[in-house]
Amino acid sequence: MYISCDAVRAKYHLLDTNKLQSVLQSSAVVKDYKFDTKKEEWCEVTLQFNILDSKIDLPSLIDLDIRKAVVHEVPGVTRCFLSTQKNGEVHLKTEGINILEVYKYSDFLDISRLYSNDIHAMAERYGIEAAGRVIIKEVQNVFGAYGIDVDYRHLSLLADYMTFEGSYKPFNRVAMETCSSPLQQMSFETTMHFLVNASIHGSHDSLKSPSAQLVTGRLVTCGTGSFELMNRITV
Amino acid sequence: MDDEQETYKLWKIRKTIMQLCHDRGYLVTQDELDQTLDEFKGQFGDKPSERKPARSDLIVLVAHNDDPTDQMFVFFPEEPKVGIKTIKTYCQRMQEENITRAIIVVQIGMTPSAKQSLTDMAPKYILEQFIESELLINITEHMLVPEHVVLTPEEKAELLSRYRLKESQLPRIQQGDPVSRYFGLKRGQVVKIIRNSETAGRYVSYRLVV
Repeated sequence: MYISCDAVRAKYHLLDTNKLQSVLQSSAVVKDYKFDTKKEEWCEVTLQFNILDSKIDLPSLIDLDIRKAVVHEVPGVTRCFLSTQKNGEVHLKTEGINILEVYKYSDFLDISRLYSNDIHAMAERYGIEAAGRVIIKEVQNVFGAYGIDVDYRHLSLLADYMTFEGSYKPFNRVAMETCSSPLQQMSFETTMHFLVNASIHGSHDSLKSPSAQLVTGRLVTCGTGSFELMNRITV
Repeated sequence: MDDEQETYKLWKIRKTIMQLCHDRGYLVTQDELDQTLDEFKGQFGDKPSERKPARSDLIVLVAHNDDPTDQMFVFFPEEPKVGIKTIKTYCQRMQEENITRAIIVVQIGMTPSAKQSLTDMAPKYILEQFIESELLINITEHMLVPEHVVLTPEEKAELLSRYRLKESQLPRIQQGDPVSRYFGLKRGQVVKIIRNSETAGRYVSYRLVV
């Protein structure tokens, strides 16, 4: 019976000089072994079994072995594939992320255009400004999938808000805890929770935040609300 | 790792370090910034396994453009995990030459006590730590990283008074942020960020280091 298989190659790859001998000695059933001496791209193993023995399901045995054999791995990356873009560029896409590993291949990958939708990873490696750009891009992608085009100004405002404190802050009620205006907190979500907390701590609201100003029926101090007009009165 | 790969790595790291020094305002010649792999091999050798170059050969000493007495060392320790002993020898050298700033480029990491000693020596001696693998590329060249310009104290005061701002009203950037580390920023400094904007062309923003 002849088999030719990558896993077997991987397993015997390390046996270099006495390769043939060691393969033949590795098991009594191995009768012959041939391999590609130049490029090491293939090998052929001849196995001999007794006809009287019960049947051996070789494919499933090989299948089990293949799963155990690691030819090459990059921690953090489980799969990767090449995709050709509309403009003819070829992109390498990976499932999972390991930015430091990619740096080793900077001679043929365009590292300056590396992109990941993992905002924390981008913030950690490229800084908070780059993370802000990623937030914009990702929100655009989410809405873009439904054909909704959100104005760039809204998104950049959102990204600036989320990165204001120098770290990537989620835009939800948990992050709202750090907000200094109780009325703004309350108008966001879980009104009772923030109201109770504000009452217990005796917090005060300076009515400077837009939400607090709307709640109390005042003009928001931005745009035309940021100044007042005074008439010159002659008496 | 074979010599070819190792030399390539060292060349890349040294190149990024040179760009970093240049961007911080230290005097670096254009030749050093544009050094090709072959020139690097010619200067230092191409057999890292035989200590040609040894990491200690790569050491850099640069002087500031505006104030030549303000100098900075870049050390490349030999051992993968740097201990407190190495830090001490570096410190002695800095004391002898009266230099207060240094960058240490470690291969894998530092022992906890060595890290502690770095913080103990601040603010008199400022030692910064970088790992080799993160210096293989220059993060400021990335398309998503906008141009950062460090403001002088006078420029910062002018900014605050012009817009009638309190420090706390500025957006913030952490001291441990990769870009802050690249520029070696200290708490309280302000960076001007020049972004490209779809709607405004260019958009200038500021961040305070916290």
